[in-house]
Amino acid sequence: MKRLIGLAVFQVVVLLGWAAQNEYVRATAPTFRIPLQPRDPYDVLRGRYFILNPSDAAIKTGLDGVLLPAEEVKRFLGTDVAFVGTALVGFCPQEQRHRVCALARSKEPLSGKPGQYWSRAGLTVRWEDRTWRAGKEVPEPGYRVHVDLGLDRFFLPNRAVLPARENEPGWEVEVCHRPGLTPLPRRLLFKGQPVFGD
Amino acid sequence: MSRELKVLERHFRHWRAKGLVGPEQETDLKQASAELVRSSTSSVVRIALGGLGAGLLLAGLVLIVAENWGAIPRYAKLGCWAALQVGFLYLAHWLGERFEDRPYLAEAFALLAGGWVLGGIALVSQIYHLDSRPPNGVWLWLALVLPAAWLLARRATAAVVLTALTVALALEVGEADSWLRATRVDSPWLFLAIPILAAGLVSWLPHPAAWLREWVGSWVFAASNFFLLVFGAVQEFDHTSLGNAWFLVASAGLLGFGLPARCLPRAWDGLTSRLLLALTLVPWAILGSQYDAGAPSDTLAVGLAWVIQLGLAVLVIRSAAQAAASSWVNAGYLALLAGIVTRYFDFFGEYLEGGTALAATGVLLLFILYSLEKARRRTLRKEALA
Repeated sequence: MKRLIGLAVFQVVVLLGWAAQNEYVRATAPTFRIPLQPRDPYDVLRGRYFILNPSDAAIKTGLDGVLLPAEEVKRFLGTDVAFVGTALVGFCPQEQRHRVCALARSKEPLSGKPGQYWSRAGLTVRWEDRTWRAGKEVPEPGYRVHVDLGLDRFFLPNRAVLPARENEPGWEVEVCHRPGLTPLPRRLLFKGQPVFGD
Repeated sequence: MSRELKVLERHFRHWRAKGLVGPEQETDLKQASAELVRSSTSSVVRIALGGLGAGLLLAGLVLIVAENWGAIPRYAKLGCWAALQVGFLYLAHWLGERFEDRPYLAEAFALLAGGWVLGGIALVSQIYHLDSRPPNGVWLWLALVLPAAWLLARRATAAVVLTALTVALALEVGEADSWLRATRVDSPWLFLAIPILAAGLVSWLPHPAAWLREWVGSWVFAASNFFLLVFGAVQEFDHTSLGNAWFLVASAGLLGFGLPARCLPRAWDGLTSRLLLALTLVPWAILGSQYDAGAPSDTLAVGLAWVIQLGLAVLVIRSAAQAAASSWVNAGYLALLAGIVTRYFDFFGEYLEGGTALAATGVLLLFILYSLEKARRRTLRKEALA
C-alpha cells in the first residue's frame, strides 16, 4: 500500500506542481502583447482553438512595419551566411504591443541590446534576393527570418462568440515573460480588449 | 434450439448408439442442461443490458462535461483529474488483491490509470496553452508511468509504457529541433525499428506482458508487407534520410537480430524472425536513398521486393504451423493472397479491358481464393495433428 501511495503522490504532485508553476508565472511575470494573424480551425479531437500565428513569425527586413533592422541580423549572423537553430529574440514596444527587434545567440550577453524582453525561439535566418508577390517573382533584397516562439494554439470554448473574424486586424495575445524561455500565453485580445483567458 | 443444445443432442445420439444412456436418464440430463442454458442466456442478456446502460450513462456524462468545459474552473478540472487518478490507482491495486482469480479487472484499471496520466498532461497543456513541442508531453507521460511498472505490479503498465515510448520516439523523429530528426522516412527502417526497440526495452520491465510481442509482431508483419507490396507495385519512394535516427535503427537491429524472443512473437522461431527483418530491409539496402528507374540495382530491388513479400508469408506460415499458432497461419495466408492479387493486377492490370477479361479475372481470383483456403485448412489440420 505504501508503494501505491508513493506512486499516486508522485504522479499527482508532478502534474499539479507543473500547473502550479504555470500559475506562479501567470501571477508574477511581467506581461506584454504580441500582434497576431490568427486562424480559427476546429478539430474533433482538440476542439476549438486559434492558431495564433504571430505577425513576426515570418519577417523580411526592410519592409514597412518591420522593427528588426537588416544591420541587427547581419551582426547576429557574424561570419555565417545563414542560421538554423535556437536563439534569443528581443521584443521592443510599438504602440502598446511588442515586436521582434533584436536577435542574440543563446550565450550572448544581452546588456546594451535594444530588446526589452528576451525570449527563446527557433530561428531560421537567410538572405533572400527575390520574393513572390501576386504570382510573380520580384526583386526584394533582405534577410528572411522565421521565428518560432512556441505560440501555436490558444484553446477557445466551443460556444465562444468572437468579436470579429480571425482575418480582421487587431488580434493580439498577451504573454507572460519567462526570461530565456518561450513566452507563456495568457489572454487573447482584440483591439486591446480581452476576449478570452485570464 | 440453441447451439449448445444442438451439440448436446448430437452427443446424446452418439451415446444412445453406444448404449451409454437410457431414455429416462437422457430426459433428466436434457432437462438439467436446458435449465443451465436458460440461466446462462439470461445472465448474458443481463450483462449486455447492464453494459449498454453504463456505456450510455458514461457517454451522457462525457457529453455534459464537454459541453460545459469552458465554464468549469481550472482548479476544479485539475482537482477532478487528481481524484480520479488516485481512484484508478487504488482500484488497480485493491481489485487485484480482492479478486485474485479475475486479474483482468485490476489490469483494466491499471491501463486506465496509465492513460489518465496522459489525460492530465493534455489538461495542463490545454489550460495553459502549452503545445509547442508534443514529444515533451509524451516523454513526461513515460517518466510518470514508468515507476508504476515497479510499484503497481500490473502487466497493463507495460502496455502503457510501450505505447508512450513508441509514440515519443515517433514524434521525436519528426521534430525539427530533435537530435533524432529524420527528414525523409519513406521506407521500412523506422517503421520497424521504433516498435521493435520499444518492445525490446519494455521486455526488461519487472512485469512484462508477453502479448505485447504479438502486437509488435502484427505491426512488423503488416508494415513489412505494406512496404514490399507498395514498393513492388508503384516503385515510387522519395529520398530516405534518417539523420541521427540511424541510432534507433541500429539499436533496434541489435535487439531484433540478437534477441528476437524479447520483441517478436513466440510463433516466429529465431530464424524466421531474423529472416523477416533482414529480407524486408534488403530492397532498401540495395536501393540506397531513392529509386532510380534506370539503375540495374534498383530494378533488382523491385524484383526482390516481389519475391520477398511472398517468401515472408510462406516463412511465417511454416513457423506458425510448427508453433501451433492458428492466427499467424491465417495472417500468413492473408499476406500470400494480398501478394498474389497485387502482383496479378500489377502485371496484367493494363490489359484488363472489356467484360470478358474482367469476368476471367473474377474466376481466376475465385480459384486462387479457393486454392489458398484449401491450403490453409490443410495447414491447420496438420497443425492440430502435430
